[in-house]
Amino acid sequence: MQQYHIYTARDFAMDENFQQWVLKPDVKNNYEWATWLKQHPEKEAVIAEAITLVKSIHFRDYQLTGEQKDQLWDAIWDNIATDETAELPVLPVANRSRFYRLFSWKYAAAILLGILLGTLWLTHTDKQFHALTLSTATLPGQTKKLLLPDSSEVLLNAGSRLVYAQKEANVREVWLDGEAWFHVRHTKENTRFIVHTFDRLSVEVLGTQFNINNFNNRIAVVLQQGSIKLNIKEQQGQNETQLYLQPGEMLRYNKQDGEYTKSRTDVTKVIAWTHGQLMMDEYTVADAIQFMRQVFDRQVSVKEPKMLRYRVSGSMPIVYNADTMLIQFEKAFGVHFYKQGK
Amino acid sequence: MEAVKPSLTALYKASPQEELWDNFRQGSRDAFAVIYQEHVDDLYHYGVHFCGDGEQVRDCLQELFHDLWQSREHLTDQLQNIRYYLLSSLRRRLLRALEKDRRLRAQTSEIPFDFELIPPREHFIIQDEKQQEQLQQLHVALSALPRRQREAIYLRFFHDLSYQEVADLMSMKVDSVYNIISKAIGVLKRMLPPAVLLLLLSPGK
Repeated sequence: MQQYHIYTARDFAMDENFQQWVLKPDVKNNYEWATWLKQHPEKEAVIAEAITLVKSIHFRDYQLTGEQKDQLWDAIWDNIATDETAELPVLPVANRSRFYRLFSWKYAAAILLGILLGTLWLTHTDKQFHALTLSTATLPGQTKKLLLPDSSEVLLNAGSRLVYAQKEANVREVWLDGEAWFHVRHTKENTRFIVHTFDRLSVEVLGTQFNINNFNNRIAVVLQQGSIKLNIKEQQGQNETQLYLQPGEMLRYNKQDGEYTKSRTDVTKVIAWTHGQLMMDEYTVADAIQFMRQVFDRQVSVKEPKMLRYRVSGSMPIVYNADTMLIQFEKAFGVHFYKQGK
Repeated sequence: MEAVKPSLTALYKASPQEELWDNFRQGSRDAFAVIYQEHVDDLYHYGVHFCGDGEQVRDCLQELFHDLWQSREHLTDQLQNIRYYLLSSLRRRLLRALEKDRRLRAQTSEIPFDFELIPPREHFIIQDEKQQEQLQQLHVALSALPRRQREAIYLRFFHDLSYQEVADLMSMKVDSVYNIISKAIGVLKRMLPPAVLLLLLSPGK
């Protein structure tokens, strides 16, 4: 790779390959830069500075709402439909010639047949329902944005798995292992949307935004907007407890003993990861170790147990590169992390 | 007869650009839906930064995608970058619309470029007034760049166009794009000294 060993932070920030890595990290460039950093450990600080330089370029955000996006799409297709109708052959206007009388029944029959077929086709497609199962997963250090067949959006965090199934017309179901943020589209028919967790807890909504973290032994559900219903099956028996969350509320559920608690939380902190941010409020070294395990599947440790309780508050960008992220944590906490295993 | 409108339901996946483009040119409505889905947000973002009028941008986008579909058979099969193609098409349409608008209203006002850079507040915790002030100054310094320069920075960093593509799109030389961005990075470097840069975090007790 070029003359990178003599680059300053500013040179890096100007370099297209480097920018690409910071702005659009992928498996290939993550690997290339991680390899390069390993060979040039003395450049860590320079790289960290250059990353912050590139990441500090921000523009005001403007967004289309989901509704506007759908409307626009409809409008585009309305126009296209108009064009295509105009292209159809125009039938001759009534002109009682011998020719017309002779062939008119044919036209009439053709038109009738056309209408019949058209109606058949329309009613058929209207009622048509496809049973459907889709699944996807993310690797450690990778996130994915998904658009479900019902137009709901899901942002899948690293090391997670999602299965989508539509078995009946009136219910949408997903199974989640790991962490995901959902923006569920409300349908005209009020179709229910259910998130299963491979455990006794499930979440039921009509249309709303929320985050679910389902790693290891606990599940945390945080509601951003709208309302959701939680169904918790009791350990013995078939009884179900139902509770509701208000925006800004969080439910923590322990898979081992089935205990759960409801509390208020800062939603922006919980969903910060969807914007590539880690917001830390009294964040401990233990939390960072948990983060490395969840997002990168990396086992790291510190020298002394008491260090686990060191804490910081603030925020940092999430860089989807385990080594860089670890460097950021080391700087933040002022501790050294030891890598274990792979 | 009604045109068959594909629903926006194909599971969102980044298919290889060339394959997607080929399918689209051969009349795949699903490929068209994927292209719309993949790019409409970014195009809107650019449009509003460009002219500040969301409605105008939506009108242009409607026209753009409509024309794209109608002319699909005549489009090149050697497309390097769909994003670049769509962005430059939107830019031309917006310029034309603004031009027409201006003539109608007989106004001589400047085209209201925006491309406002905002301070990277969420990256940092503002601990004291001095740092707050520094960020404020940074914002002022970045906003003081001419709007054409802000547009170039925006296209490179927000839309991931290469220096060459930015230059082509804005009809300028690659060197100029490089200089503009170098200048902006310089401003950032000066205004955000490493102490501020490296996360204003203090180890806990």
